[in-house]
Amino acid sequence: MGKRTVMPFGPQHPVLPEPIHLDLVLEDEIVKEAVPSIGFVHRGLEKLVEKKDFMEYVYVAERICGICSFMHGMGYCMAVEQVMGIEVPKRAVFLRTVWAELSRVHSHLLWMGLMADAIGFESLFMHSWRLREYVLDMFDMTTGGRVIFSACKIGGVRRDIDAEKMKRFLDALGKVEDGLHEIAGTFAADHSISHRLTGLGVLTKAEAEDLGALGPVARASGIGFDARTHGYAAYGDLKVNVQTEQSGDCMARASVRIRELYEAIRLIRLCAEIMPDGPTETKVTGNPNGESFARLEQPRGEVLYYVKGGGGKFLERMRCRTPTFANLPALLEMLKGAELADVPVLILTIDPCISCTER
Amino acid sequence: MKGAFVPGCGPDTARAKFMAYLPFLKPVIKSFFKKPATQSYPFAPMPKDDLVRGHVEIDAESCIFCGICARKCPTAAIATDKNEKSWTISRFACIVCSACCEACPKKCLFMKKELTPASEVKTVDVAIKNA
Amino acid sequence: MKVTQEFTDIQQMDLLNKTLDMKNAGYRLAQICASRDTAGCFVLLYTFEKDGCLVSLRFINGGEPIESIGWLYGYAFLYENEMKDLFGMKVINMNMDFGGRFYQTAQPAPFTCGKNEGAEMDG
Repeated sequence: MGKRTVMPFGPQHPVLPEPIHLDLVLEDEIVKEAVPSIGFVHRGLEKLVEKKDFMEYVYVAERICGICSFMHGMGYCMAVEQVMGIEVPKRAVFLRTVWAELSRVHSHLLWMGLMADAIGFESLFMHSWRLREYVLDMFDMTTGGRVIFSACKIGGVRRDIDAEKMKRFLDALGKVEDGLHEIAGTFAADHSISHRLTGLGVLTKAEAEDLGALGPVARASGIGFDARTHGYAAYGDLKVNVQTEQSGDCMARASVRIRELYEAIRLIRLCAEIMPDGPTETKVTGNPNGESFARLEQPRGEVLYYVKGGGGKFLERMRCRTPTFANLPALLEMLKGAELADVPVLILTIDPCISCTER
Repeated sequence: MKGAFVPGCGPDTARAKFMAYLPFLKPVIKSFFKKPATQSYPFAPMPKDDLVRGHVEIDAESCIFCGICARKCPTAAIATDKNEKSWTISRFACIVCSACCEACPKKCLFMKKELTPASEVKTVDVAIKNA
Repeated sequence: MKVTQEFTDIQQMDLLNKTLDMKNAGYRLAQICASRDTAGCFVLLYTFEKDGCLVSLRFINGGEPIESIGWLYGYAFLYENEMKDLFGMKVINMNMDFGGRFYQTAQPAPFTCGKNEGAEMDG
């Protein structure tokens, strides 16, 4: 056995989008194991629910993370609405689904840029983020904000998209899709990308199940698990094609995310076609009393919201189990046996959202 | 489906390696002839939709200083004083959520699309009713 | 597929048996949630999921050590370490014990402050 050194990776590192600390146990540049340590972005948001009115907490919930922001707000609202027995109008449900799928497009485009940056392919990073700007302009146009929308509220949504705006929205979506063909084609065919990603960080189907992997990490290993098939929000009326791959390496995870991008664009167009007219909110009276779970499919996997109210203005407990938290064991397994230069690629391949992990 | 993503295991012949660089060549050549995708804000105006949440403005003459906006504000950025007839907002505490605009009974709060400019001190804006 | 949620109250001594039943029935561990009730005891919620159905086992813990389920569900160590670091709970026989260094917080067990005590920590 060679001599082992412990190298600290993070929390400050140019390739990491958010701070996470890993102690890498190295033997001559091969990682033998990794020991994680989190808490650098911990804001105690689960404790804050005891001090903020449950209606005001929506603003805090959507600031848990910048990329999955809309789905956090939506998950919190769905859980509280289930506890209070509120029926959200159909049009509001469809609007939430449109924004949720557009959040997925935003997140995967951002991830593609970060992955290209981790490999060193900076111009692909810039082009992916240029496409992302179209998506942010679409959010600006319909909700008023680029990253944090404040569009969801308990009982419905705060904004509506009228017919003229919807037409501009779909035109912008067409521009995103055209630009996407070039970027996705590069990911598929480019030699340097396939050389870096193929065969790296292989996770077999049995390993993914034992480690509790979620989202694209599990789907790339052949587990067709997607919370959208359970029919929450408007997904009961839309048929979602779950994208899976069998090989379980980094290239498979990239291809699952890119195919989900195309699928999300198709779902947005379908939602815009079949969206019914009607009110966008219902009035909320009383306080939540009871407990409930809400499950959504965030871009990174399945998120679970548990909300417990005692009849007062403040909730007793809010628990948010985010997908990156559940994907950490898969990351630790993938890091074993990897070379030091591949560590950033492996960390980015699970699409880490540390703000979500630590709340 | 056009643009269906089918990942391969990487090109092996020299000709295939050359062809593999072609998908990215198109955006590279296009960007030689296009102007930059970035805008030089704040030196150039930023084209924004009217719905955009930039900052909150008040029509002070209609305000009755009931204090509902201060109570609804999630970050306690607004303060009202009935005796002084003043309405104060800490610009850097405001998260531009427009909860105050929706809650105001006199509808005298408006959301404008210009963003608060960067500054070295945390700006506080005060509006006083003249009547 | 139909989505259901159910909550079952159990005793802490039945935890390992019930978890073994869940594992044999094919459920996966979704989350472990700790909270405090009005009497100052901890209320633990172990949630399992299969095919859209969420089954939660709930029990009250007065501060005595809890057996880890890491030997059944390998990834339970994450939730158990988080419980230890944020709530100060005692968990024994863990497959991966970070010794309080998993969550880097300024003070140990920050979530155990009550509703009124927490207000004094501001600033």
